[in-house]
Amino acid sequence: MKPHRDPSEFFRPLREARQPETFWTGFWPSVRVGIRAPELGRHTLLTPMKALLLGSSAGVMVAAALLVLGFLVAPALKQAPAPSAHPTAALNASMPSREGMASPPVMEELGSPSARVYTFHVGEKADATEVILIVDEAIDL
Amino acid sequence: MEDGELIRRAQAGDLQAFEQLVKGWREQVFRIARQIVGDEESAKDVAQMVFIRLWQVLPKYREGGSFPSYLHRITVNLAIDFCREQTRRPADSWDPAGMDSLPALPAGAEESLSTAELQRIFEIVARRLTPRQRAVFVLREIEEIPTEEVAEILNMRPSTIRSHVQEARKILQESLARLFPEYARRREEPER
Repeated sequence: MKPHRDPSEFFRPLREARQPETFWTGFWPSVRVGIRAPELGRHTLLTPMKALLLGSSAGVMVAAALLVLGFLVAPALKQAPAPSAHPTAALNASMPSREGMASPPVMEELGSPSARVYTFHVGEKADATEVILIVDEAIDL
Repeated sequence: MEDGELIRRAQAGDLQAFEQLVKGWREQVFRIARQIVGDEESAKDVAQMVFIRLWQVLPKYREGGSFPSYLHRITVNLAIDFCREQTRRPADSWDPAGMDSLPALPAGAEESLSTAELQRIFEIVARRLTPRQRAVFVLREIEEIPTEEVAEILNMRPSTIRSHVQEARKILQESLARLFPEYARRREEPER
């Protein structure tokens, strides 16, 4: 019986294996993407300080929006606004010929069926100006 | 441009130099990874991971150390990690049904055995080796890297490497004799 072949000798030609150039198509681009991915990630990820600042800014913006809605828009929608104690009292007081006006004039209708545009004339003569409010009761805050 | 210069430039952030380095070493990295993980596509993925990792750790590489050993260590570690993540050792993936797809064995054709056929045979008979045994066999017996260097790459003693080599050779010889008897027998020496 013939002696068994040495597996080291048998498999050594695998060392000469070469892949065709087409095999490597896309290899380097994939490596480059892998290299760049963590770098891009570092640039786009927020540091804790940036996240804190961004979060604070967002909070301030939300609070400001709520204040505007709470003190300006909501009272204007009421048919019988509360007297002087309300912050809009000055605005109401400055509106000419308010008596007999059931509600502010609707200037135009928007796409939303509940959205309205109101205009108020504030001040007199040279100081006269218009305050325009766009209100949509359907907005869910 | 020599590897030393490419490495220095790559350490300074030169991607083009790194690309040249990748082109110079990708064949061997892929070849080693392939013998350990056992299939071409996975080996290609591992090879890509090797170069991505190399880019990340290259700033720590100090000139004077053996760059091939450094690169081979990354390759072997990632390939073995890959095998573990697949939760299958090569020995566990033995599929008798796969025997149908064995290369055809024309009598007396072993001299013309193509590299692809040899690769297929290795993938089949090496399934009984652990990834670490495969790594030792590939580095020492196929790539012919000196035992001391293989020991450095795998962080083992040279005596352990020699022991793994003997064990791997024994297993491969047995598998070869059982599954590919026509290839397992040594060619007859011409009579003198």
